[in-house]
Amino acid sequence: MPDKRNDPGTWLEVLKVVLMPVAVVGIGFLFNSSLNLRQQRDNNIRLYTEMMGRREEADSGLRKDMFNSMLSTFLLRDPKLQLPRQERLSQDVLSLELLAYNFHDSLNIAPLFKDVRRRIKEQKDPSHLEHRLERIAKEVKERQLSALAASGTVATGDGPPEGEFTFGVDHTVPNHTPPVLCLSAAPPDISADSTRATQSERHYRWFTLRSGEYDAKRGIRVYLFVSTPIDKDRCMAGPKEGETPFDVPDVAKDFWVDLFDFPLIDNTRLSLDERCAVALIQSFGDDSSFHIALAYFPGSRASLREKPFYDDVMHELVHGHSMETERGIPEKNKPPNSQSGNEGQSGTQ
Amino acid sequence: MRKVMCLYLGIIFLLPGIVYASQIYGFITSNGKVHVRTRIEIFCPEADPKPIAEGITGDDGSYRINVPKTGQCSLRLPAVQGISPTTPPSVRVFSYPDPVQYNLRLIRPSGSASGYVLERR
Repeated sequence: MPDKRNDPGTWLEVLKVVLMPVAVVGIGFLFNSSLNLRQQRDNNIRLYTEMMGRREEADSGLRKDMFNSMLSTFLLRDPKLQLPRQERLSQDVLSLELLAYNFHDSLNIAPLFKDVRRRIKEQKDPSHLEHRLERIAKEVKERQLSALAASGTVATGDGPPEGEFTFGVDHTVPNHTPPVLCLSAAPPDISADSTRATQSERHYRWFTLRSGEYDAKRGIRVYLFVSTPIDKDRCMAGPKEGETPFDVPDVAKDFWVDLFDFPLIDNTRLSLDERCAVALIQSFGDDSSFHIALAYFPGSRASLREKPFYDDVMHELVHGHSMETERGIPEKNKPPNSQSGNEGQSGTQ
Repeated sequence: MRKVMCLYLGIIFLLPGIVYASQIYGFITSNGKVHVRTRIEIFCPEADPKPIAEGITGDDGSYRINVPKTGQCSLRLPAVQGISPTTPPSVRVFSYPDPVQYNLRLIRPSGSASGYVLERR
């Protein structure tokens, strides 16, 4: 009679009986702990969102009060207040300073700057307040440009009125006169696993920027041309012989740029929900040369004032990002966005 | 007493120059590496035979030069040989009332056995 204890089948049966509850308990424990972990994570996210929402609400309330009180400085003057003119101007500059540093990304404060400058110039000794006003504008522009450089490209150049602006070789098509810039709306990749556009997804455009006449009140007139999106090789090679960048136009316009035009707010819409802006950073005392910045960036980085077009949003939702890169090929049939003589780049002022 | 007077006069004459001095700054690279310990001269206007300001790049290739004049200038590297043996590599820069950044690249053009060209990046 065979010994049942040595039968492997018996041991397997015993093993099954022992392991089944252990497996059930183990799976249950794992499922439970994963559920707990997930719940905890959800709770944390909810708590974080709630906290952020409350903070945003409090911040909005504070900003609203601040905004109202500062704007009322300019718009609602108390006739009973008999402040000396110089004192009132100093107060206006201080209010403008607060307004500029706190709301430069959501409000076009250029008209206020221009108005205060006009009133300062009527003074006997305007230099002190005028310099302060220009310093504020410059600081705000530099903040905006450095924020835009993180998500796009910012090229700086110099040039006289009625001439060409010269830019650095990193942004210029080699051996091309007049200078043609080749820029991408995405910054160079910092790392290989960057979530931003990779080299293959990135598209480029040609830009040409020429200066026109200078007017002390309006600033410098610039003539901007932007091509439709093209691939990197074509962009870096520049227009072929007999071809001009104007053969593939997206935007061709001229407008005035002043020291108080801010790139985040006052910019030009391009196709594919992108933007470009020209900012006047500084000039010689005799206005014989101007230091400017040309920023090219995604529309998502434009100010809160600029809402995306519904069709652009719908296109993004329906077609996704892959289609966007396909659209990066020149759209020859698309008419250029051509405007002339606007005060601002957006053409809305 | 005379020393104090000299000090006062020195402050009176030198201070405006310091206050209104403009600044040109940035870094110089060559073959993807920083160009260290190189003498820089600024000529304003460009045709001026004497440099208006001088400086030297640091160990990180950066430089910062105060230029006591605004206008169109020329930045030259006198210790580096340019394409022409008599002229050092130079680039046009603009000195404004506020500091301006000029990042420069020193390159040896293809086909040139010796000599460098300075370019704005």
